[in-house]
Amino acid sequence: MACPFMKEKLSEYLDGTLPAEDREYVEEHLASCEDCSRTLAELKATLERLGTLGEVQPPPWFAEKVMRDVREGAGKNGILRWLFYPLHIKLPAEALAVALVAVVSVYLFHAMSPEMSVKQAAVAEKQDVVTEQPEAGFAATDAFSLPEDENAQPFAPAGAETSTEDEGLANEEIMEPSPEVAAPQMRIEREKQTLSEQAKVADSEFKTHEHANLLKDKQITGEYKGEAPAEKGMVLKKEASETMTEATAPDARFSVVVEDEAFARHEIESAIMELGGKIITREGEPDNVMWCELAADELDNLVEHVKQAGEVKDFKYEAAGERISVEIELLEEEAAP
Amino acid sequence: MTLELSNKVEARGRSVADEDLSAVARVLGGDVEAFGDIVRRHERRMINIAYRITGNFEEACEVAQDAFVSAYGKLKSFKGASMFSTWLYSIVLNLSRNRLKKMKTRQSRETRSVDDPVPTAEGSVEAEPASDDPTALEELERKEVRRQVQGCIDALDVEFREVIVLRDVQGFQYDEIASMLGLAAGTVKSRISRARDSVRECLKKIMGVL
Repeated sequence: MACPFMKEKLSEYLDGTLPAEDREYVEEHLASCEDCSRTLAELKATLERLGTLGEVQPPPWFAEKVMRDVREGAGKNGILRWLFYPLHIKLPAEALAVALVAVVSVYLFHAMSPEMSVKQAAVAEKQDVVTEQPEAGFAATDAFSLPEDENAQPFAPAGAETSTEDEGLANEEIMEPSPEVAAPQMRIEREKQTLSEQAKVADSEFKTHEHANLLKDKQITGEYKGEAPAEKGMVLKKEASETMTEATAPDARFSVVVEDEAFARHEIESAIMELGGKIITREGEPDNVMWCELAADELDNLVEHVKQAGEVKDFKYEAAGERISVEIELLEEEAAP
Repeated sequence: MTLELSNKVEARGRSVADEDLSAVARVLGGDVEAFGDIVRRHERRMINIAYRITGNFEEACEVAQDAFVSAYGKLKSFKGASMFSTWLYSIVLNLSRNRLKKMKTRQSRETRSVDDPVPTAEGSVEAEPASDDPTALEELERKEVRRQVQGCIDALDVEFREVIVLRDVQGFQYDEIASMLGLAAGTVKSRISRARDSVRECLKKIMGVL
């Protein structure tokens, strides 16, 4: 066993890294110390053994595999670097962008919510109008009947034959009413109802055509004339009112005394359809009153058909053009005066 | 003789370093393929360092591969304070050290029988077919010696294992080893001395006489 103070020096002596003074000292010690000489020999043999280990060869695929990983890593690093580096700039910028998107999203949500409620209100109003048809017992051929697949186009009226020039445009606007239109639209509905009630009163009292026309003019051109044309959402509502107002002042009217009101209504509706007429629905009209529109030439034929259902009374007619409106009052026999 | 070998290694190291700096500059300039020159120049040394420290060839290849990829990712941090090869080998040394810890943890979890063959760096130690061919016998003897030497290296703690591999197997200078490991030159000398003595004792026990 080597002397303890010689261990490290023997290792360096083998490497040839000892200073000249130390090397001489070691050599002098080795000459006199058998243990250290034996240890030095064993260390030399150990280094020779270590030298036999040799080198292993890298696999032939190694360099290419490394380069493939390096290329992939370069791509990822490029994207990550582009997204996140330098961190002290990119992270605050990204946080700011996220906050901005959140604020805009909240703003858009609040901005859109009134429009959504208006759409719902529009659907409700349209359904109110339509539900009057079954009550009146008419077939769904009127201007405001909904399509069969109501859910498919909730805002699209099926009454393509509605005789309004702006119908297409009005439909489009109804489908996408702007928030600015919503308030005036609701106000117009309220005013329309008021006017309709006034017209009904005038109709029930059978005042003169001048009075009825005055109401019509007021409704069509009065307060709405001042409204901006762009507010097309109102157009459809105004057209609906015109149709009803025209009906409030019939060009012809008569009463029919019938035994069975339901049966007679069915017969008269069939006759109107055969003669190319159109049944008109009116809001707030008594159940026993029917309105229709047909060619003036067909009025006599209609009366003839109606006579088959019952006795015709109180016939009044004033020539007003090629197409006329007709009011028919159904009176059951026991109720007839 | 040892001194001559050291000088040769040093001269070779300086020469390689110059070529490395050129390739490094090209890579930093955006030429990814220039890194291939660095890989091809150092792959053998990197794998051998990892192999002698981990004692497993497959693990060594993975470690060397990870080291190259890691070096590419951190290439901008190479400031040229040392030779590029020194910087590169320090990476593979760190990864080898980490891999060795994982391997030891993994092995400690596996139940082993005292009769199982001991895995060594030279591969299987199971009985090989006998042969009368003198050349084959000599090769078997040399293989057995290498297995025993590697076994003694594997028996060292990692801090002694890496210095003896770098110095006596790979032939690096003390200052290069100190730079790779971030140690003082005196510490490196001390560790090398202790490591050699431990291997000497180990081989004496196995072989009887050196």
